[in-house]
Amino acid sequence: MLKRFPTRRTFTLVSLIALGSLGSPQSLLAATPAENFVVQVGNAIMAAARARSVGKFRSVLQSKGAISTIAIFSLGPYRKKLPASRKREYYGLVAGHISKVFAKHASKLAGQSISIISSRSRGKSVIIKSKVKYPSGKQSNVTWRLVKRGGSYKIFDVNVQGIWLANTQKTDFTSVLKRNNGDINALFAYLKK
Amino acid sequence: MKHFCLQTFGNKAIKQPKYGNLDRVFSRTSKFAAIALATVILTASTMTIVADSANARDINDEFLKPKTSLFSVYQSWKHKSDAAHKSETDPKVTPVSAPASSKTSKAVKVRQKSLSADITDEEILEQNKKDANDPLEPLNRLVFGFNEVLDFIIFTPVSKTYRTIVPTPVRHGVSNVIANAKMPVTLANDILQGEPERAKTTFIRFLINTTAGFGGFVDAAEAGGLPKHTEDFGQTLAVWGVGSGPYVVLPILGPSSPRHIVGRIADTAATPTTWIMGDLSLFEQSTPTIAELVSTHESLLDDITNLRETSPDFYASVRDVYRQSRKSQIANGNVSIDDEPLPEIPDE
Repeated sequence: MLKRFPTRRTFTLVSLIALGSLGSPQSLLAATPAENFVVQVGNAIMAAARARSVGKFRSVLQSKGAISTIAIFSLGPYRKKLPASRKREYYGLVAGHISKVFAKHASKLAGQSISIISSRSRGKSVIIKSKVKYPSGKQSNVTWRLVKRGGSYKIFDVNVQGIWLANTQKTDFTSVLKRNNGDINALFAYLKK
Repeated sequence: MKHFCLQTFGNKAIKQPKYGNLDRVFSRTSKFAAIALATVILTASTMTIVADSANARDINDEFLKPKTSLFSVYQSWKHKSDAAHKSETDPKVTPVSAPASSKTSKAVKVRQKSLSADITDEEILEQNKKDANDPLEPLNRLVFGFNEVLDFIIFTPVSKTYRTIVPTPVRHGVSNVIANAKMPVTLANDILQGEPERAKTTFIRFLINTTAGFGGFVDAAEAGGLPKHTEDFGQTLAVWGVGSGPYVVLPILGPSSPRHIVGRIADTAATPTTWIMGDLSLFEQSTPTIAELVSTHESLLDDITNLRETSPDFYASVRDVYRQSRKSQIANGNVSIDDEPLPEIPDE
């Protein structure tokens, strides 16, 4: 008795199952705009870290970071102490400060490549988990928190080795303000150092 | 020989215990049992203290507390039993389920208030206190200052000298040996945390590194695709739902919390070197701890220096970094996308 030749429907079904077994559905789908954004920013930050350039860090932060949101967040409960007239100056100082801190920690940020693990919406933000590979072969988990500003994604926070950087900066800024009885000029003086 | 000994020291000198070395083992067992009992009592008291002060706890502690836990079950039971007790005395009150969101909603209200522009200076101070969860701050700062002096006089020079005279591969080897000696503790805590896969990895790593890795000097298991991880009893308590309690700075050991301190005591009791070196002098017993302190300090030297240079208040920065990294360790290095309460994003 002759074996029945698979019909076209069976063939399509088998192909789909085979395709499915090649990897998770996520790997077959195109990366989301937020994931593409993180890869782009990650590569730019790693390039700046390899160059150990404060200027390059500043350029990446100003174009890809939600500087005003980070700056306001960093004031914690003291945000009402910032007069509207000095906001622009404050944002500029915060961008400069973060760039200097990034340059100081350049060796930790000087990865070779970045790959996305997962992404998820969370309230007003999108959380993206990634893995950064270093030239030594070591890998490190980096998590990004993005917000939408002006119709496009911006970086609000980054978690490196379990530490959220915006939170650490908030601790620094609020401790300056606390020690100076909430005087915003003391924070400006600290940022100008 | 026996005759010579009898002549020299008398019968007592060569009299063997009835059960040979078992006497020493029993002596150590009783020591361990005492330490273990003390740990259990301390843990139970900490849980009770933390549970009793749950209503007064701050947002920061809420961030550190796992959502589903023995602690929340205990709280739920405590609330129900309180309500039931109240209903017995007051007929108008009927037993209710635990208000799981009452504390959260209070915390959210405080956080929302901090985001608003009409917050008063008093509320700012109150918010700062809650965020810090550091009621012993003046004393902690004093101990922190003492540690800074020790760091300046002893630890940093020793770490720098160690880095200069010992080649990197040997330093890595020493660090590996210390980590390998702690694997039994990690294994016990993997099991206590209900992590069979991680326990299996730890067990195989310990076997491979102790044999093929020359007593742990070479991390042969990592090369074979078994990455290193560490667990301690403080993390286990956190997984069980015990709150961290307030921030504490210990002399020499540095940042800690009541939960972490209890964990350290239990881990010390469970570490094999504590048993093996039990009969040696205090200095000899302290050798592994000193070696670990120097090795860890050397590996963190650059990070400590960078943080000290970039931070306006080193004490506050260390407290923040300690809390965040401890939280990350408890979550096994993961950032939970689903469960972790993330800070509110302000509007511009």
